Amino acid sequence: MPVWLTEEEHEVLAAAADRLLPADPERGAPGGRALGVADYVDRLLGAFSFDPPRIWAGGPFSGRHGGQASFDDWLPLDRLDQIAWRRRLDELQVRYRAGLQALGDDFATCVDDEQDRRLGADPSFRALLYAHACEAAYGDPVYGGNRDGAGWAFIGFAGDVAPRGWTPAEVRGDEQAVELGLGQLDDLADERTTDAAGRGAPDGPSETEPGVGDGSAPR
Amino acid sequence: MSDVDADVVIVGSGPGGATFADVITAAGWTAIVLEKGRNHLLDPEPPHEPLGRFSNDEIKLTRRHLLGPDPLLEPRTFRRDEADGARLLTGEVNNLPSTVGGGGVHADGKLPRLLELDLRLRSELGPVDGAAVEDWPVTYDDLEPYYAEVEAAIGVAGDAAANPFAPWRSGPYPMPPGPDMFGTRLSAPAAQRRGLHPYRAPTGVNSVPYDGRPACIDCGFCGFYGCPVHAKGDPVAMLQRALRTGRMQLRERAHVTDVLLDAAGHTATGVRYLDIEGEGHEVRSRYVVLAGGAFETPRLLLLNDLANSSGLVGHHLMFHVQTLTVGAFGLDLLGDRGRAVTHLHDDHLLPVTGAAAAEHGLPWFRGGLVEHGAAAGPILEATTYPWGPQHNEAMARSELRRRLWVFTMQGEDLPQPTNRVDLDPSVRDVWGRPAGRVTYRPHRHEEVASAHHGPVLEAVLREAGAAGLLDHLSPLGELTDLDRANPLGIAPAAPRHGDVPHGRRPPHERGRARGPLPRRREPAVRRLVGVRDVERLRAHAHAGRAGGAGCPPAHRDAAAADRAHGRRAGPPARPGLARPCRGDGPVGAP
Repeated sequence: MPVWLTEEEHEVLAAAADRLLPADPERGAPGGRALGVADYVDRLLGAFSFDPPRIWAGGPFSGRHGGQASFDDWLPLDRLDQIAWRRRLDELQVRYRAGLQALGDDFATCVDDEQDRRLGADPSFRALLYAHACEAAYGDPVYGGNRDGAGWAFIGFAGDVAPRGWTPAEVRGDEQAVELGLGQLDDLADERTTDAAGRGAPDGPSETEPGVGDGSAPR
Repeated sequence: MSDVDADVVIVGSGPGGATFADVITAAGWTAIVLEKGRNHLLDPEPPHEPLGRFSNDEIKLTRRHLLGPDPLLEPRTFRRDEADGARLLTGEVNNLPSTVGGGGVHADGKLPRLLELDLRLRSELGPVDGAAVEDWPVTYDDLEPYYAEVEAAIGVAGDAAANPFAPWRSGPYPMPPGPDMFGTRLSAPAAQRRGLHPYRAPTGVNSVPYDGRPACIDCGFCGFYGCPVHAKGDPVAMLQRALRTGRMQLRERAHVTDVLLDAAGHTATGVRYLDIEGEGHEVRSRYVVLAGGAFETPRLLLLNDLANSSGLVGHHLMFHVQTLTVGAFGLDLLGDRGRAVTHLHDDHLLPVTGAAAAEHGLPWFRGGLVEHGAAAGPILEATTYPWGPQHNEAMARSELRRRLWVFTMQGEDLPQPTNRVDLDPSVRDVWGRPAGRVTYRPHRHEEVASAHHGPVLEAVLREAGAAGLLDHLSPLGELTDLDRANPLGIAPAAPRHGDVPHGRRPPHERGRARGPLPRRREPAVRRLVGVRDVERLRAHAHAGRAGGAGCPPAHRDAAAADRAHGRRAGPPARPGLARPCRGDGPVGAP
C-alpha cells in the first residue's frame, strides 16, 4: 500500500519509471518498475507519515558488510529541518499530483511512443522524475528503491561497504596490476628521490627523518 | 570571571573553531562553542562518543542536505559582477557544511602544508595589476611548529620525504601514508616520466589506529561524506578532546546575530544568538572568536556593521579555481575504493616568469597543486546520463564512475577587491536576516595559468594511457545549468573527481567553453588576526590578501588557530603545547 500516492498514481509512476529506466534483461537492468522507483517516491512524498520522518536513514552501518544494522533507525528532524522539509515536500506533492494526472490514468497501457510524447510534454516534470528514479535505482534500499540491491547488482557496485571497507590490496588493485603488468608504486618512490635530487628541489633541503611516527596519541 | 559565562565564545565549530577550542581548553580556559548547524557528530554528554550518524549513504549526504545548510533555510545568492543586477542565482552557493565540525566533516582531508613561497608572494614575485598580492604577516618558520602540532592533533598520514618541493619539517608525519589508489599506478609513473614529482598526499585520515580512533577502512565514501568510523581526525579529535576537559560547552542550532560591545562600543563582551525556537540568548565572555568561515564571518560583521572602518570586510574573496583534466581509460580504475585522492604533485606551483608570462601581460603566474583522483557515486553518475535505453548502456559501461581519471589543479586565485561577500538587498534567511551574496569573477591570471598547465596535464594522461581527454577550467563565464544550481560548487577540500559528463564533449576538445562539470571552490580562509576597530574580537581574516596556493584551507586554518592561542591564551595550564605562550606578547621565533 502506498503511503501518500493513490494506487492509480503509483501505477502511472511505476510505468513512467520503466520508460525512463527501461528493463533490459540482456544487460541485466531490472528497470524502474522492478527497482521500486514508485515506492521510493511514495516514501519521500509521505515521509512525514512516519515518526521520525523518513528523510535521513540512520547510521553508521547497514549490517550487510558487518556491524550492527542501523540504517532503519531514522534520524530525527529538528524544528528547522521540519520547516525546510515540509515546505520542500509540499511543493513536490503538488508537482507530482499534477504531473501524474497529466500523464493520464491510462499511461501504463499506452504504447512507448505515446508514453514518450506525454513525458515530453512537461520536460521539467520528466527531469524531476528522472532524478528521483536515479536516486531510487542506485541509492540505498532502505529508502524504498533499489529493491534487494538489484540496481547495484546491475552496475556491479558494492554499495555501502562499511565497516568491512576495502583492503589495501583491493584499493591498490594488486590483482588487476598483475594482470596488466604494472609495477609496484614503491618502485616509484625510489626513482622519485633520485629524479628530484637531479632536478634540484626548491630552497631548504628536507631535514626530516625518513621514518614515520609510531601512531601514538598526540597528547 | 564571575561576570562572564566563559573565557571565550567561539562562533563556529569547524576546523578553525574546533582547534581553537582544543588548545584553549587544554590551557585551562573555558569556552562556549556556538554552531548554527546541527550536531550529528558527538554526544553532548560525556564521554562524548561519536553519534554514529554518518554512513555510506549517497542519498542523505549528497541529495538531502544532512550536513546543511539547507538552501530553503539559509539561501545564498551569487552574481558575477554588478552587470548581473542584484543577483543571478539564489540557493546553494559554495555550501560547505553547516554542522558541528563544519567543513571538516565532509572533507577527505588532504593536508599539504603551504610552501615558503606561498607566504611571500609579494616580496618574491611582486604585484599583479588588478590583484592585491601581499605577503603573509608570518613566515613559514613561524608557522612550522604549529603545523607540526596540528598534524599531531588531527592525525595526518604522509611521507615526509616524498615531495621535493615541500618546505622543511621539524619531524615526520605522525602516521605512514595509507594505501595508494589503483589509478595512481597509471597516473603517478606517467607524471614522473613527464618530469613531474608526484607524491603520496598527506591526509588527515588514520592509516593506522591513532588517538583512540581506528584506521581508515577505505570504504570509498570519503569526500562529501562524514566518516562512518571516524578515521578522519578533523574535527572530531579536537572537539572531543575539548569537550572531555569539561571546560567546553557545545551549543548546536545557535545562530549568532550580534556581537555585543561595551558601552563605549570598542570592546567585544559576548554575543547574542537565536536558539532553534527563535528565542534570543546572550553569552558574555572575555574574548569573542569568529570562526564561521570566509562566507559567514564577514556576513556577521556586515550585519553588525562592525570592524569595517576599512570598508574591506568581505572583500578579496578567493576560491579554488580548478582546472580539471579528465582522461578516459579502457579499464576499471577502481575509483570507488580508497580516499578519493591519494597522490598530488606540486610542480605547477612553481612560478612562471619572464617572456612566458609577459606575453600574456602578466609579471608572473602560477598554477596550483594537482590532485590525482577519481570516483563518483552511482546516483551522481546516473543523473549525468540520458534517460531511456541509453541509460542502461551508459550505466553498464560506466565511463564516468569506473573509467575516468582526473587531474584537478587547485589554482592560485589572486585576491581581487571586487570579489567579495556582501549582504543581499532582499533575499532573507529563515530568521528574516539578509542572506550573504557572492560577487566573483576570476582574474586573467587564473585563466592564463590554466591554459598554460592544462596541456601538460593532458600529456600526462595520454602518457598514462588515456584514450580520450577533455580539459576544463572553472571560471564563471556563460552560465550552465550546473552553475545555476550551485555556481561556485562545493568543497574543493573534498573533491569527488570523475563526476564528469559522458558524451557531452568529444575527446580532445579543449576549451574555455562551459562544460557541465560541477565547479567546486572554497573560500580560502586566511590567518587568524584581531579584527579592526574592536578589542577582544578575533577572526580568521577571510578578507586577507595573502596567497593560498590552492591548498585546502582547513590545515592552515587550524595551524593559524593553534598559533593564535600562543598569541592570546596566556600561559598554558599544562605542558604539551608546541610553542611557549607569552600572554598577549608575540610568539617567539622557533
